[in-house]
Amino acid sequence: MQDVRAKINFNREVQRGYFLMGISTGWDEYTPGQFVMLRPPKGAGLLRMPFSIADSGNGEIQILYKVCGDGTHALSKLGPLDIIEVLGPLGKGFTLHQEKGNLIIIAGGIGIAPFVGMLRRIEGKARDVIFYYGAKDANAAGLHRLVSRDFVRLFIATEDGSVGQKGLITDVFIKDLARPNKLAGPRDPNGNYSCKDLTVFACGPEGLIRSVVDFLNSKGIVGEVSCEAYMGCGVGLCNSCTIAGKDGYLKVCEDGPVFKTDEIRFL
Amino acid sequence: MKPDLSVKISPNLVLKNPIALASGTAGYGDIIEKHFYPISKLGAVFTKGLTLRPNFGNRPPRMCETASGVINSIGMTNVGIDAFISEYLPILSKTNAIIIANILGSNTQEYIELAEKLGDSHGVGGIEINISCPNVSSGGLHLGKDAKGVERLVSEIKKRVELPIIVKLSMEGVDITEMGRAAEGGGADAVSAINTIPAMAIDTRTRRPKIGNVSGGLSGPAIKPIALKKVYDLARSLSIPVIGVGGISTLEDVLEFIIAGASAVQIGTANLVDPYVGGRLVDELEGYFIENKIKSVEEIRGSLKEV
Repeated sequence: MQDVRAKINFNREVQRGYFLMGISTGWDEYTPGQFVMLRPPKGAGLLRMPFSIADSGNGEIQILYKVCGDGTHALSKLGPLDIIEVLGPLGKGFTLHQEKGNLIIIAGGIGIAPFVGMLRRIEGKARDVIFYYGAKDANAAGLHRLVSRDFVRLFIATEDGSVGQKGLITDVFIKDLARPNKLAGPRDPNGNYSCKDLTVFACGPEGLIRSVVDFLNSKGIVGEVSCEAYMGCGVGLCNSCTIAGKDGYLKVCEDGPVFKTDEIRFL
Repeated sequence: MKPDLSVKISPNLVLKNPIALASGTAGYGDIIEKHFYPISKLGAVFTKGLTLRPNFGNRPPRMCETASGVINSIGMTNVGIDAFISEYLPILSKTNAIIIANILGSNTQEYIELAEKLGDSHGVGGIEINISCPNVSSGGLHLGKDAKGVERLVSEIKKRVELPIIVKLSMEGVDITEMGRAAEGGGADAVSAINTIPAMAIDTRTRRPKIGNVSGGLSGPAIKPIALKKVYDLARSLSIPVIGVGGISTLEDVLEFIIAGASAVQIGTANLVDPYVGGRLVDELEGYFIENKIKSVEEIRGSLKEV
């Protein structure tokens, strides 16, 4: 973890209201799913804002963000050579140690961010990736370009039906996975999917996370989900982002934001 | 010559400098020590509020930002006094920092039990009694509004525990100096002021409160002028030390509170924005003393001049 004042390399609007920012942090080692806390530009607020690291390389990290409040609005106005204070990398990311088997990813909206760099990193490692991406509309769905690669089978759903299937992406994912032998690997004698050859990751709004966790729990599959919560500090000091765990409470910033689906509970 | 930054809070509590971290913004001190700077550099660390049993806390969202401030409604999330003593104190003792345990009971007996457990433990520098958490309905027995109750509680604890006792005063309802006098009357070694101020914010789009618990406590630069006035009033009416807290984030802020009469200060919300701030303020205060040839905190404490 480092706290650096870093130059912005670029700050590009990739879809209307969605920006990709490259920051010259001097560090680029991180695990996909980890995040940084950015100090808001002067006059745009007090507390730092958490952003998932989308990708990195050559002493630069990239963050993908949606303009949704004063802080992100001020961020969107920054340009090359502006300076920003970055604390990170923070938290725990996804564990991607398997080399074989299907990787299933479910992402909603800006929740696509951690998978941009993850997919670039596993390119050429000969594993199949099935990517379920849900978005509000065609504009947000356009973010799928950031993860489109030859080895990625992409399914899209939009709430307004303008791109892909109409509805929630979790419904598409659940329907597919419920179909015998369509996507998943072998099952155990109880009819549950074998966790050995199946990795499921998810990141998105709370409703998406809940659906994925409930479904995986019902099938006896352990996946990993990135949880979102309002963070005050991002480093475990304030207890704002506490969620319920199997034994006591967990801090999203410090114990997560990525959790195994069997270690969290929804209240 | 190096200036003497030390401040005496009580015969058995001398801080090496007047900069401390406020309860609820520094965990138990362990995270600051592990990731940011040695906490022994500070005057003291006031722990997250401790209760008899582990506590999950309030429903989310637990925090929102307002103009120059932050509303929180954490709800006393903590590991419980026993886990604090068995798991955290041994680690904290090794840092040689002064650890002041902040406690919250739901009745007098609970406060006494908490204080006795701490009194029997190695590595606690003092106890800060939270009589005023705005986020726990049963918490603090509504002691924040009950001067006689505070006096009784403090004297009961003082009878049983030798540790220095600091009473963190409430901003709810009554005259804070009356509460301060009650704490002093009960035998408190010092008071700290102020706790967060009851506050709320509404999302007009959804017409829902921005805090899950509807309201919470306001902290940060927004409350600093209010805290300063309360500390000024307290320092003039009490003979025990006053520890200032409320929106302090810069050297200028620290000096203001000391000039107003504070013996020490606690850094709160600023830790969340910049976890390094406490250590840096110690350096900055020392630099200021050297530059201005000030030999001790006492030399400038309460030195407010007339207009």
